[in-house]
Amino acid sequence: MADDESRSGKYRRLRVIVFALVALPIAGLGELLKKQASNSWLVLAGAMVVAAVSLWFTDIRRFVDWLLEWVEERYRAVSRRARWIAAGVLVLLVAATAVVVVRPFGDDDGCPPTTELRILTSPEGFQATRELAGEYARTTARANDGCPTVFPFVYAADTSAVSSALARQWADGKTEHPYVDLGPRPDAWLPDSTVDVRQVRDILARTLPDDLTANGRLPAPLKLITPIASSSIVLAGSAVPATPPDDAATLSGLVSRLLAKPKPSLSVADPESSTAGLLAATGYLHDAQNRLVDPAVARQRQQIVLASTASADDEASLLCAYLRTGRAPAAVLTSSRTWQRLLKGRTLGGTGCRAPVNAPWAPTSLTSEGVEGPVLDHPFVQFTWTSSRHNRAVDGFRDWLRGAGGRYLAEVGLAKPRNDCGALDKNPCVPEDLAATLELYQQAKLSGRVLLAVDASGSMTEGVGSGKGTRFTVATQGVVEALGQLGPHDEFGLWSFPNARGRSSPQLAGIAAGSPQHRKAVVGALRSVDPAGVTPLYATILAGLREVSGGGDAKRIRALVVLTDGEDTTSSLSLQQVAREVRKLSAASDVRLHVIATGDARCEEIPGREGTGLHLLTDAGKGECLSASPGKVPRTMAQLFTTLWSGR
Amino acid sequence: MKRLLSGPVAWFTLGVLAMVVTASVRSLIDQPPPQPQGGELVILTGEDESTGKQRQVLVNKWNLENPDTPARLEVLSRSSDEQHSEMVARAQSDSPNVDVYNLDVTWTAEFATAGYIRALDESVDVSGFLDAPRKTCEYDGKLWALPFNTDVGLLFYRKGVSQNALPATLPPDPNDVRALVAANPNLKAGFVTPLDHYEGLTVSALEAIWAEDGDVYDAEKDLVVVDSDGVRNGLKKLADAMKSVDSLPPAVDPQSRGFREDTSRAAFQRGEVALMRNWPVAYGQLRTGDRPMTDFDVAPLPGEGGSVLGGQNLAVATGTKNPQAAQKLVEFLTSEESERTLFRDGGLAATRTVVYDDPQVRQLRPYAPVLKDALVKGKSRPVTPHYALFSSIFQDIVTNALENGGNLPPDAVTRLTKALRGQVV
Repeated sequence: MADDESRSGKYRRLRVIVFALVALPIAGLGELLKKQASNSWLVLAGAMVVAAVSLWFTDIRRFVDWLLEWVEERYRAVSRRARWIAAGVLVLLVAATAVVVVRPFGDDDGCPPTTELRILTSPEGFQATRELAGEYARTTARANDGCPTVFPFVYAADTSAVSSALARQWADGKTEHPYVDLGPRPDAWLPDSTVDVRQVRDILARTLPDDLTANGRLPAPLKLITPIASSSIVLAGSAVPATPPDDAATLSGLVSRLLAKPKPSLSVADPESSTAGLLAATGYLHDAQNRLVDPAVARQRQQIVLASTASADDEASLLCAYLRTGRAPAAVLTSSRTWQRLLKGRTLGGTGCRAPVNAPWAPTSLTSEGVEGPVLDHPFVQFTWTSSRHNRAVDGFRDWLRGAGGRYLAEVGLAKPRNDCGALDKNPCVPEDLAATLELYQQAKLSGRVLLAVDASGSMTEGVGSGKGTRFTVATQGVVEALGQLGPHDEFGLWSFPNARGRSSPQLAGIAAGSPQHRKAVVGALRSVDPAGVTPLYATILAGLREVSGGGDAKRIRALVVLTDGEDTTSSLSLQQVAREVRKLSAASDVRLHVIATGDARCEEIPGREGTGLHLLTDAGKGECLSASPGKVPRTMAQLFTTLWSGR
Repeated sequence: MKRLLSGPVAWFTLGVLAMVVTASVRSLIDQPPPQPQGGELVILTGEDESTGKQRQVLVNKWNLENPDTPARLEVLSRSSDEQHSEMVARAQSDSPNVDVYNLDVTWTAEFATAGYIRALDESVDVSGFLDAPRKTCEYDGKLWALPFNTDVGLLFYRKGVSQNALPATLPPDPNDVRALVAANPNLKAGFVTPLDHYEGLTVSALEAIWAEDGDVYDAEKDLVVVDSDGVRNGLKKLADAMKSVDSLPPAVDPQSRGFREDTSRAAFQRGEVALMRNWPVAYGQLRTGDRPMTDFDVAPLPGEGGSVLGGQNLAVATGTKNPQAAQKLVEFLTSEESERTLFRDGGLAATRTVVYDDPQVRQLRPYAPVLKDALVKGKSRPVTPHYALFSSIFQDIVTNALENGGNLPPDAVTRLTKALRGQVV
């Protein structure tokens, strides 16, 4: 009897041990599969293993009893030798199982792959978006054993450049190659305003049946628009009052008072290149009652803006130009985002524009509180083309921005979203008469007199991208695109440097009105050039400035645009000496100098070495230096000429 | 038997069978059994920077020989960051529509681990490839790709610098600088290497560390070994080399902190420095353009440390519907004849040994023997599926160290160890 009890107790202990040995690894494997699975199918498979084990558990005691009895029967039935063989086989099985189970842990590669999140944004919003996306990745890591679940890749492009690519589903066009020129196809687009999204919708509306865009329906590939932040257009600067006067309840009222003062100054980014600039332009093209001003007044105000603004495509470049000089703007219309970032010493973006170490220009005033004006409503745009996995990541980022991530908005210069904004039409953040404002601006702008000097040195024969030809042929394409924007009253001339064989001057086509014949002559002359030889950059710049200043009335914008892919190789003058000459010529004749630097040419200062970078010349010439990879020269040139023909 | 079937074993078996069926269906949805078939093969790649677009030339040749499975280059941006983002996103998407990826050598582990690419058949003959680039195609005991073109750092020097004046190690020491200045008194610095905050900083810092017999990661022990004298000495020497000693110009141009490959080349071309670390492609770039240079030559980087290996590898996408043809295409593009074309006509460093011994190639690319020697000593960057994160953290640490006399931040080991596993602090 005692033997029976002892034997029964032994069996109970043995049962518990066998139970643990068999059940726990199986359940553990199921749990591991559930945890490590990267998609719902694998999670389901893991759950089924756990379910199978659970079902098994319900009858585990009976099973263990049966198993032990079975083993005992077999054990007694076989010979001593067979028992040794069975024991050996069992050891081998356990060892093999250990290898299979343990090996995956030994080869642990750490975190599972992150989901790539391609985020397209505006050049002005690049830094803020990158900071927000980085914080989101860290947030996902904190909740996941330090492993981020997403890898955000943020990149920027102008709406003018991306709108047609988005409408074409990011497919190649005749001359456009979005994957090469713009970057990956985005999973999310964070432009500054719904005004940008309208551009895409309008392109699509021209090609799609009406019913696909009727009643505010979003046509594919647009899927969902969610406002995630806001940023008011503000009036800021050293000449701006700290608190708005009682009778100025609108931004345009504030601006009207400012412009009524003697010798007014007002800086604004280009309305045709920048959405923030366009909304800012509503501030000076409306009166205190928010009505569009008279065309004569618009022209007058436009001239004030032109005189006070260093040429800049966007507000980051606009403020960077002031940052370089160390001089605060008297008055600037800009988004509160960019202004706040500047004051906080955060990077603004833009070529050669470094973050100010300390808050610059204190004290300067910002007048926006309680004043009615346009607002950037920062939409978060999702697309129909996004795959299921990326869609989940995009949703997660959007929800975080709308929820817990909201506390980081102020850190990057943004305010909380306006929930009443976000609609493409009838949006209270966007002035209703935006199209009329733009038309008024275009009427008010001055015609241009522009000389373009194209580098035709030997290095321009270097290849550019797949099947795109040489740097020079790409530049020629840029000239053709720029000429497409030429107005009937605009004047244009073309030089190439060095002088081609058989020519005694750099002139290919003299400055003349933009008739179809003149355009044809310009393109024909440029295509006949065979690039070779040295780079007389400085001599060309000085001669070009003199040439442009020799004609045209004072009200006309006059500019020299130079495209170069390298440094000067012939002049005995230093860059600083040339900059001094440029300053003199530009001040005397009000001719602006713009440079498009590609290849080895550099706009920005080489860190630690003051007095380098072609921006020295363009700063002296009150113009802009734009860096462009060889493949992006046509787009950069087209954007610059849009600004020039608009009289800026 | 009846007891067996009605008991717990039956329940367990039922559950497991359901799991197996689910997994099989999932497998069929994800990867239909590969069957040989025709159809276009898409190669996802960055822009072709070779002279005369030799990659397209090779694809055209393939298409003539294989009209049933023509290939097409789908070209992405020149920026490797943008290439990486699009390739990873495409691989993760529901319908990647890619048959072959042209991957940077540092991405093989990531793509293999994540299941974006297929291991190649064991039948592939890899005997003709140089060891170093071939090894960048291997991960976890399998061959995942074939090396398309390789890259390795070279020392570019002015011909006015005598062989005796060339430094025995990098960065040059004050005596080396003295000898360089004796040959050219107008030098602003002895040596230039890219130290801007990008992958070039990882490359330059690793080479400085290796030159001092240090390392960042011990692959055998799977250990970050950055807290060592070799690493501290390497970074300290690099930081110190940017300062003037005894009224001599600095050994390393301090402006290198803002230099990439192109700006380093410009400084060398302007004669501001006598020595430059750059990739082989700079050889052709210096010899062309409006100020072609001929008074320079190249050598392997001095010292025993070796140089960082670069280059691209061709891998077959997991989602391809025609893996056999895709692998055949990869083998064609990396064949001896193709590699000869890429190097001889396009200037892309070949991955096959025999190309460097070809007299015709040597005539057109006289630096071929030097390049081959450098490749033999080339070393890979740390192999991890999380290389992009690792490299960005390493760059932050090196930047911090260079600003602090070469001293590492206290949390360097922790951050790098976590980054190797894909974690962030």
